[in-house]
Amino acid sequence: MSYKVTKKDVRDTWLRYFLLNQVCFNWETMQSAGVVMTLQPILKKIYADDPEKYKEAVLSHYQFFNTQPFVGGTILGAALAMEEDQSMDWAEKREAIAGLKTGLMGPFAGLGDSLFFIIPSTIFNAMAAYSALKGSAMGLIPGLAFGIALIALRYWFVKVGYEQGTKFVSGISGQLKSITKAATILGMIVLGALIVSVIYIYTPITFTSGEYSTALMDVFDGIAPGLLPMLFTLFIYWLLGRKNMTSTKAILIVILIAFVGYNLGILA
Amino acid sequence: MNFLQLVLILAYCALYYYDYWNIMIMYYGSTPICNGLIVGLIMGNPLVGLEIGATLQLMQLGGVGYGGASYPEYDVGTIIATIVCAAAGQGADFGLAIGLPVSLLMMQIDVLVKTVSTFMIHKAQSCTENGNDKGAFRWLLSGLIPWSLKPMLPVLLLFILGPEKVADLVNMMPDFIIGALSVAGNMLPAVGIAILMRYMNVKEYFIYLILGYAMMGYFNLPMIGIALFGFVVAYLSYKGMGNPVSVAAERNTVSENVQIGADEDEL
Repeated sequence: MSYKVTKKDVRDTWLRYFLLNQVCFNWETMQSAGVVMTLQPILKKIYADDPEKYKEAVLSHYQFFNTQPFVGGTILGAALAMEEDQSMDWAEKREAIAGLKTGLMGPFAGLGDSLFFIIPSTIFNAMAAYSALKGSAMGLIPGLAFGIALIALRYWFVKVGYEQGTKFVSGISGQLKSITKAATILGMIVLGALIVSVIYIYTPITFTSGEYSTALMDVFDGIAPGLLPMLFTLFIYWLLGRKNMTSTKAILIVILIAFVGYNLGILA
Repeated sequence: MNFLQLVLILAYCALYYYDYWNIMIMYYGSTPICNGLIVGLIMGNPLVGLEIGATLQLMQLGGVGYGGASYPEYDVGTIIATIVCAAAGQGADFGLAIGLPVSLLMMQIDVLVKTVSTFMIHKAQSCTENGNDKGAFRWLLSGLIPWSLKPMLPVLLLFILGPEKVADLVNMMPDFIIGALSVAGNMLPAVGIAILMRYMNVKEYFIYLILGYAMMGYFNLPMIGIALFGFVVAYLSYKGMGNPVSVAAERNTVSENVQIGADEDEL
């Protein structure tokens, strides 16, 4: 008897993934604990009459898994559909599921990170920060509302992954690419604006010749407002692209520059 | 900081860390600002918390740390700085001198936590191998414990040392450190932004960076305005209007229509 996954099963699977997707995040297998906790109860139902297969299936999900946890739901939904299919040859099936997970987690992470993490959180967090600097917590509301709205989308990702399996997965990636492109454009515009408004670099240097004195800062502002922050950001961008450079080292370098600059009277 | 405040803050630490890693709702508002606001409320000074949270949030826009990398935990730095400032009656500038070092030190604890979690997943796996599902479940779920303890550790340490004592220490710091840290604080957002640029294929999209830069630099628009303009440009691109091929194609259809129209007029 093969078990038929019900609508409630899919919902429960999503709920477990929603609550525990990055539980016990670790060096070795990263998000595997979330995968095991999401799939184990439903695998118990699917393989109710074959304890050996059940154990093997659960153990196989301890494999390394790391992706963006919203679109990751689609991968797990598709994996669930494959687990349910009892007509497949067992060894082939295990290989296919492992292949599906490892094959999709990388591309999905790249897409999901920029579309659901980096771009929206940059925009909403910057809004919240501006209003917080003025003493108001109201700026938090748009971002919180967005986070709540995403819950529906996260459910849909699991559901559609289960219902349409790999077919959906390959079909949507083209669509997602054009959405990601548009979101990147929005993100770049916001980043450009942030460079001027968030980074503050001021130099007190003034050149005096006879009766005239020129502040170096006025020269920079005269060329373009926010020129120093822009140049400095591009410098850090270049720095981050160098070999053996990590974001931590970059932070320490900035602190060092600030120490030297401040104490030599170049920066204030 | 009294005992009740300590307990409330510790409970909040577990809650926000769980949100940050699983639910991800506060994350979109802003984790540091939520932390500053709530810890500030518990400590009786939400305004200083908001300001510290905002300052530290701007240093890590985009919430770096993707792919499981360790990152400076400005959200923990916010909690510590807010407690110290609220307890010692100091302003947000003062908080930076404590918030920044704490954020950086947290990366060391991150390594420790991920190591403990690795041990736990091994335990869970061996339970599964022995057919002990309940044991596996317990080990996997206990993975929440080291992660919740992570932001709690510095709070506990601060409680033991006493926030006022820590504030006195910061007060003793000479100007060449405090002044330099505040200059660094103003420059550090560049690192966060540069990291995001590394994620976003700047070479292809640099022109849009200039657009945002110019809008803010010359017009000084509010952030929501910039985002709305950006949305329009992004939407046009999504519809393919920025694509030279489709623009050319559209032009052809339009000119054809015009010609047909012109023909009819002649008739």
